[in-house]
Amino acid sequence: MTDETIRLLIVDDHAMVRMGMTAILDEFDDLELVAEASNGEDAVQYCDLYQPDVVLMDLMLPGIDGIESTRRILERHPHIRVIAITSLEQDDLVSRALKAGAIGYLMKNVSVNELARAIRSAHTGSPTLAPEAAQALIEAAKRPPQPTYDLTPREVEVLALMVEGMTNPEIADRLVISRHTVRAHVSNILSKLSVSSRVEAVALAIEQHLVTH
Amino acid sequence: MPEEHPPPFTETIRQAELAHQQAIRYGKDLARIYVIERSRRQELEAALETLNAIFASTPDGLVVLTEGLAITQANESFVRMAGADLNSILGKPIAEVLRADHALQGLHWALQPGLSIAHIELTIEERHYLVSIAQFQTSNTTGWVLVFHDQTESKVAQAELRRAHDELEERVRVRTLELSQKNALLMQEINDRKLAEATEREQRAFAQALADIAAALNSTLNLPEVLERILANLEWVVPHDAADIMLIHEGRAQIERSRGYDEATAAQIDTTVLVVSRVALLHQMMLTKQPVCVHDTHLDENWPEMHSLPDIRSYIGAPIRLDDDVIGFLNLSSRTPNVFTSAIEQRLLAIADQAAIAIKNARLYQQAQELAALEERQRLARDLHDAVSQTLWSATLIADIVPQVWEHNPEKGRQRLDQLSQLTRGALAEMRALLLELRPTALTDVNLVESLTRLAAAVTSRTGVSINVSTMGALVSLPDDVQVTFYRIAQETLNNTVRHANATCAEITLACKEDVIQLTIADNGRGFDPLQIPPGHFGLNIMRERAAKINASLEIESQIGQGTQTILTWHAPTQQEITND
Repeated sequence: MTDETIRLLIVDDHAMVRMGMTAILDEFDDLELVAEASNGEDAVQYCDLYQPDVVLMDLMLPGIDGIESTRRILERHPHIRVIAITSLEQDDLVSRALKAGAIGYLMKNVSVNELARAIRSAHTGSPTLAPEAAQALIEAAKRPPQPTYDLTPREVEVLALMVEGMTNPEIADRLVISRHTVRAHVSNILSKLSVSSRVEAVALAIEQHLVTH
Repeated sequence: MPEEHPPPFTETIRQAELAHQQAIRYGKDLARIYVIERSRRQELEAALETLNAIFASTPDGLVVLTEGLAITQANESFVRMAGADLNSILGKPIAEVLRADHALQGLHWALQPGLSIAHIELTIEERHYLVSIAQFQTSNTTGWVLVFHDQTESKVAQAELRRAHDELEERVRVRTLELSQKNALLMQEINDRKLAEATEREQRAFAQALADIAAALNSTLNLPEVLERILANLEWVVPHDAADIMLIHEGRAQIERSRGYDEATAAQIDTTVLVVSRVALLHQMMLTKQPVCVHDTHLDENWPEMHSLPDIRSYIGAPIRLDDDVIGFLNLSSRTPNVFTSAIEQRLLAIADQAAIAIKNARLYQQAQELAALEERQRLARDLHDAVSQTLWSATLIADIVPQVWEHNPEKGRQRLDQLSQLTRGALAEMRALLLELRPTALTDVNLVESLTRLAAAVTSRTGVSINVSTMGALVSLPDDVQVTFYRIAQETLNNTVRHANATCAEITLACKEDVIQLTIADNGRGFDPLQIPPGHFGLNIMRERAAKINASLEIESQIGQGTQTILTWHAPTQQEITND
């Protein structure tokens, strides 16, 4: 135990989970709950307001999800440590959470002491990975890397807007480029992805996480 | 002179005198006659001169023949024509002079005595002459005057004219021929065009029918409706008395839809199952994937003895082909023999192909619907399962710390135990809601109030939003689809309340008044401006579609800062409407 109090923000849409976590944090003198958020937007706002040391971030949230919330929080407050905590065993979530900047990845089966330990480690900058998360990372490392299709950053940008359902004119307006250029990008994207239609390109982009959304 | 005393010899003198006077008179007469004669001779000479001049100068060749057809006179023109000088030809027979041997026969014929005048044509040195021959008779001899009129120019002109005429005639003939050929072509073309137009008209009608069929088929994805529309549209394209569509399931064909049969026949054939391989016509279509036509069922040995179809005299069938498979048959029949032609076969096949696509779409849609429903159920189940396990994990966390808390703070320990029991109750509520999702019939096994109560409990457990469920009036028994729809819309509404409204409490009211069931869900959340919500957001479209399917009305009232109220109203159909259905 250290003398320093670690200030915490809990982000979870599940009220019962917040209840349990609040209850146990109360038992640790060095852990202080400064706020609870039930969605990503609130989480980002509370970080601005309360400047917590560590955020316990549920990944499945209504509105902007936990990964995007993590990215936004770290963008504004690089010193805040975010621990992802989820009940879902979904392989790519782990790496996406880590890429977004999370320092720990816990499953919602973690014991009270393990949770406290992970919070303290995070505060000192040490990562904690749940065994399931470590396993998922190993599996992911074994798998051949996902093709990136050699898309240029601009093409990725256009593809992302296609995924949002924008039409060429809308994309042109958004990126402040000509419709002609958009059309060229779209046609390059289709050929690089070896698909014959916009819809297929969007489906592939979502399926293989070619864009962040 | 005095004549008073005539002497005797005076008589003689007188007579001499008389004679002298008479002689003078004669002399005078003679002189007079001489003068007259001389003037006559002069006139004659002048005439002869004129004649000679004319003779000499006339452009026609003149020749006078006497005995032996020898030339006695010839004018300048003749000499020139003969190509010799006058002296060398005088006295010579004309035949020697004229080198036109072949013409002489005609000349000799014309020169026989007795013919007073004749005309013959001669060609001499490439010039053409009309020879007029006149015979003359003097006291001691017979002669002929021949006039050679050079008609070469007029001949040429005539020939020219004739040629021109011929040419013109030829041209007219050719032109007439051309015209008649063109006319024939034109007629052909007109006929062709008429034929083409008729064909085109027919094709257009067929294409139109196909397009109508395609449009009709694409407008619905409900299989029975699709089949009904195929049969309805078929009437416009191929005239027939009765039609049916068979679909094949594991080698057995069964009529799915029929039209035009009388009631008894329809009832009988609708339940008939045919083994495709044992019905020759169906088997043939199955193998060849081509239509078959029976022109007269009374004469065709392949026509099966079907007691249920005694009236059918001609039949045409087409396989419904899908991806190299035959999935069914389109059957048309008529009470009249020989009504179906091979042209109809191809049309029927085209429609059968359309039908195949429509059937495929309808089947895919059905599968997609089932899949979507399954996925939806699985998603809800996964969410609930996730919620249950998270609630239990939360309970575990508290259970872990309760002994420790109890030791140094019994008051707080009791508080934690309360929370623990709240959590386990919540887990139980979520579990019950999960069971509703996992068993498709579970939603209709319990009444609507019960399922809504379970739903509310689960949501409260998960989110902490307090939800009160109340009823007004006695709940009547609802059709399954209505009950499920009410539950799903309530579920989606609460989902929105929890996810977007930031509400702390909600009120569910189910009002039952006579035949009207009304569900009201009101929350105290932040509300929204309905005009600012794009369609498709918050699952509003799905909710509206669900409501529309059971003919219920859905109203969503909200205002920023004023909470949201969702009202679903359903009228039970009256007895009359039920019979009509």
